[in-house]
Amino acid sequence: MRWGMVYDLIRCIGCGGCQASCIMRNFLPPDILFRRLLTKEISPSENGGRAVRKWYPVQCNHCKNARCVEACPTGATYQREDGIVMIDHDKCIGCRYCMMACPYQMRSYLEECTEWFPGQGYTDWEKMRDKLNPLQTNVVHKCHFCHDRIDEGLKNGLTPGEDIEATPYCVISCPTKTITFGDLDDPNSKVSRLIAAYKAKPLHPEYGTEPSIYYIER
Amino acid sequence: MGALDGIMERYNEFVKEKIYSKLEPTPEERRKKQLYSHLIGEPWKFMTDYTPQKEWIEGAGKFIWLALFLTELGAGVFFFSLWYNNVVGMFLGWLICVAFGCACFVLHTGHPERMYRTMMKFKNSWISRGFTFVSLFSVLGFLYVLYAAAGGGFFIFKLIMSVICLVVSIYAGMVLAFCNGMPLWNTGLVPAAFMVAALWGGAEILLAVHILFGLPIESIEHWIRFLIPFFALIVVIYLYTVWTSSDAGKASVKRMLMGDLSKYFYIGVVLIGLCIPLLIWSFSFAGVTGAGAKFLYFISMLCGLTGDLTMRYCIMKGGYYSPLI
Repeated sequence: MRWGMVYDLIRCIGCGGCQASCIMRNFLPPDILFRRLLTKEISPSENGGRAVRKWYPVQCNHCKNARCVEACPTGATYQREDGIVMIDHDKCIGCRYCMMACPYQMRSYLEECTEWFPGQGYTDWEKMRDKLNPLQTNVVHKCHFCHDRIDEGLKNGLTPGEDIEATPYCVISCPTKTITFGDLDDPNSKVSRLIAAYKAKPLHPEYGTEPSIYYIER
Repeated sequence: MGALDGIMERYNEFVKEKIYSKLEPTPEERRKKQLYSHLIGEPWKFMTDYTPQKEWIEGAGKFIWLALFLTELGAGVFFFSLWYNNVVGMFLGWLICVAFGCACFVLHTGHPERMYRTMMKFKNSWISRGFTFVSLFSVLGFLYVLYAAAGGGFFIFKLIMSVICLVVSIYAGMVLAFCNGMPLWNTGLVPAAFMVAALWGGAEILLAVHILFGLPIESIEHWIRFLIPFFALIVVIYLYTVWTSSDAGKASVKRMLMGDLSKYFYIGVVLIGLCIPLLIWSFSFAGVTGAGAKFLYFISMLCGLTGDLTMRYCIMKGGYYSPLI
């Protein structure tokens, strides 16, 4: 089993809903992001007289051969059997070598949990962070594929990617169903079928990291 | 209508003066934007254009730059002192590497109290390997200093320590070369350049120690005469290789040679780090001796170390990630 995602870029409208839901779910302070929405403008001269703007939602690729896992000197970054790359924050020394080693720049170092509204104190939502999802400071953070939802869902006999309760938050919050989540090792899963049908490709396959995030460009 | 036109004109002027003027960037803001535009690009180009790494050179990241420099330099000093049987030099090398280099590394980390965990991934991680080598160097090096001070100099021990010194002096380059997202770092010439620089710095410091203690310096001079042009050659080959490797590599070298890092590169590396030492050492061929020559050797040492430090700064600061999309 190897969890992965497929982005159908033609569906993405660049609303940033995935990003916002990720921030809300993980109680992220303004300095760090687990996922970003990149935009690329293709000029008319490059595209047969037609200007195009493309949106690329990016996040940790949960690579099969993750450079960050190799780089981490303490074993804080590790890979689960289902392919999810995780960080044990109690082991992280904050050397940031994993950030240097990740060619996708998908890791963030959290120095302190600053306020979303500087000088006005924490909002009620920010205060809830300490109770529901305390973020350790001076360590590196990144996307974890909402592993707790997946684990809990599997325990309750649900299928991640199909049942909402067992699917990562960004996937269920996407209003245009750009993101599909599922098992890459299962040839009959929706993600595998999408990859095969549309020849989806990961970002920079030449790095040899075998990312678990694929993009369909039509 | 005429009266209304007047009111509208006055309103437009008011808006222009009071509101638009505030929205327009001030000359200072414009200057700052111009100054940093090459670093961050335009915000909407973030990660879609060449993105510079910042974590290992800005803020607390400067400590890792110093840590990599000092650990390698210390190992270089120890290596030469070992073969010249100079106990003071050995101790100095040990001090630079262990006390100063490791201190900088500890200051760089977010959780120094967990540093003991750093040795746990020797099989994969270059930081882990480096930490293990430096720990080995700190223990065996200190014991060897005591052994050498007592008059010992068994060849096998010397050989073992030399290997440890060379490994310590190369690991920092390996740490950088592992990062395949940055073509400026991801080349085998980085460890080579770092090791040669460390050995050159080590020879320069040992020369200064020999001068201070009135010991013969002739054979160390030969090493330095060889290492300076060798370092220059490696730097040239390194820059050429990165330039031709990829677009991101070309952008990194361009930034170093023509961009905001050019002043550090030309003044720090080329002029102070290479030209002045080369000039001084070419004078040494003429057989210039006496207090003046010794003073010039000190200047050469300082210039060499400045050049090495600046070169490492340019490499670490100039690291561009390839565009993501």
